[in-house]
Amino acid sequence: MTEKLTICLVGPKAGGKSSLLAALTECVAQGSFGYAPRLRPAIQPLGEKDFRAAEAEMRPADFLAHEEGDYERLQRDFAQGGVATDTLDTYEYYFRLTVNGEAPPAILTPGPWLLEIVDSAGEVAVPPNGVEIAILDDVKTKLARQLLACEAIVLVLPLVRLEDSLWIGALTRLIDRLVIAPEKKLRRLVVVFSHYERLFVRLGPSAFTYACDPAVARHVLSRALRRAQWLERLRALETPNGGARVRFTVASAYGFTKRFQNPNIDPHQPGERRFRRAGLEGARAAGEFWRPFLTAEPFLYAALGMDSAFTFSFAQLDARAAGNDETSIID
Amino acid sequence: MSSPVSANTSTAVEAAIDIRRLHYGKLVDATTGAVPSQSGYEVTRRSFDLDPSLVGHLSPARLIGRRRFDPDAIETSALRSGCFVARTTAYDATALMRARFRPEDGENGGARRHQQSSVWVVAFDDWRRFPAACLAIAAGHLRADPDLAAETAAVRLAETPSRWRFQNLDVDRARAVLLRDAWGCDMLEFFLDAASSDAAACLDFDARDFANERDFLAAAGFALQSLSSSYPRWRDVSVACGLAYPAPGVCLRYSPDHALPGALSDAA
Repeated sequence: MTEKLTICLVGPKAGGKSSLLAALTECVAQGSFGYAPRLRPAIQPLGEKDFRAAEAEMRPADFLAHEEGDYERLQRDFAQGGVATDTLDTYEYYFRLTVNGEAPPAILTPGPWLLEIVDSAGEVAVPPNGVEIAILDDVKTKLARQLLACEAIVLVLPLVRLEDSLWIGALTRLIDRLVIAPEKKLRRLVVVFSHYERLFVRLGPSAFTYACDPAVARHVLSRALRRAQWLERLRALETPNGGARVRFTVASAYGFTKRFQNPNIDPHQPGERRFRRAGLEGARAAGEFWRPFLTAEPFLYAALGMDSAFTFSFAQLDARAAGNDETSIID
Repeated sequence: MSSPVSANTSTAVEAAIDIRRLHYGKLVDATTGAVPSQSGYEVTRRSFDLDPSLVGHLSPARLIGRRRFDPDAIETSALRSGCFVARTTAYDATALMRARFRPEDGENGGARRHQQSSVWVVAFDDWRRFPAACLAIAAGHLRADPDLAAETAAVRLAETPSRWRFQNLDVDRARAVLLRDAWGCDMLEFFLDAASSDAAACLDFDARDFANERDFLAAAGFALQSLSSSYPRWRDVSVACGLAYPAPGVCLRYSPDHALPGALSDAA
């Protein structure tokens, strides 16, 4: 049996949507997620043709053939500093997800999963105030259609003071419309706070140790969401009429360096670049120190509906907020 | 290697074309060239009388005939200045586009890159009558430079079309130049072959044929100027420089990175 799922990535511009997606397969390959290792998920990019034909017939001539697809291009652009996704279209990427280890039968039975992940520029769904956005108005229509037809939404927000951002009004409006849309098929919505590594830049080699503590992540989420007015609107999605489950998590596409454990942002490079050995080029240079952190979490939850140590429900965050000050380890 | 060619000749008559503009990308700071944090993708400049229904046909991806315009679409040698495409699109309009990716923290920065495109729109009839002038003007003045955040939207989005006056190239003179060099014969033969087919086709030139893009565009202008206005595939004609793939239609392409000189191939 194969289940097809569509997941829409939305969020403000420069929030890290494309980076999160670019780091997905590497995160799964390195097991750098909060699920038990015995789950043993595997994910591989597909072409659209293979996604459309669930049981694609492969000709012998194609068996060893490999054509660089959109996802490989996205990963290459990400390794070179990234390219801002334009507002001229929405872009679909396709994957096959399998779970090869232990999981409850209710989780495993529908698999393997064929995922269609829709990426779009932040300016389309969550535009900043007062900007004339797209050349193509039909892009908004297309994304709206995809949002209403998808089974899961991954909402990517940068870890900033939400109340001060220029896009918070647009985000609230989007959530409102999602809540009241009767024709939506939404089953899961994951709110991801990106750029998680930046909270730990002063901790040096201890950074990864702290980042790996789910209690720290839960505390960070509670703090980030403390004044979020739109949070209450999101709760409406979980009512019996809403029909969807909501989770919160954190992620870092750059992650933490292998061996050294510090946040993987090289302060000596222009722009934002990951650490790499001087004089080394190509895939080895890009991957030698790269360990993305939890970037698979939102997609695995969106597909499987299975919680990890780093996905938090409203109930968990509410409980945390109630006893916040007594157990706080950072403030 | 050909010598540079010019659209100005002594036997020419004066003519003029109106050019409308559409810029897409991000606004930048005038001093640093960096994209301010609040700036996102938008139409940053537009002629006030540009037909709104045409705007959707002027995205870089549509003009290069691909689903997506990404850095791979631009040849390495053209990454900084951007690729160039001229082709006729909907509503009897011909678009001349320069598009590239530039770092968000300024021209020499290392941050993530954003798309920046400048599209000129001329009437198809002007393109058919004055292709050499259109390409010569574009070669000299069409740049994918970002607009400045300091300039008000009222000014940027209500620009008056620019009128360019020039000495039109005499057809006999154009043909004489074409028949003098091998590239000219190749181009004429290419258009002749394409006339009897509906298929897409591309004729490639590289740095061994022309020293730079400007020389190629001048040569392409001569070839197109020599075509009769009744040429059956005028609407399919496209010219591309620094583009990693052939542009749609009957394409003359300058590909500095390309290894094979003057290779004739059918586009997919």
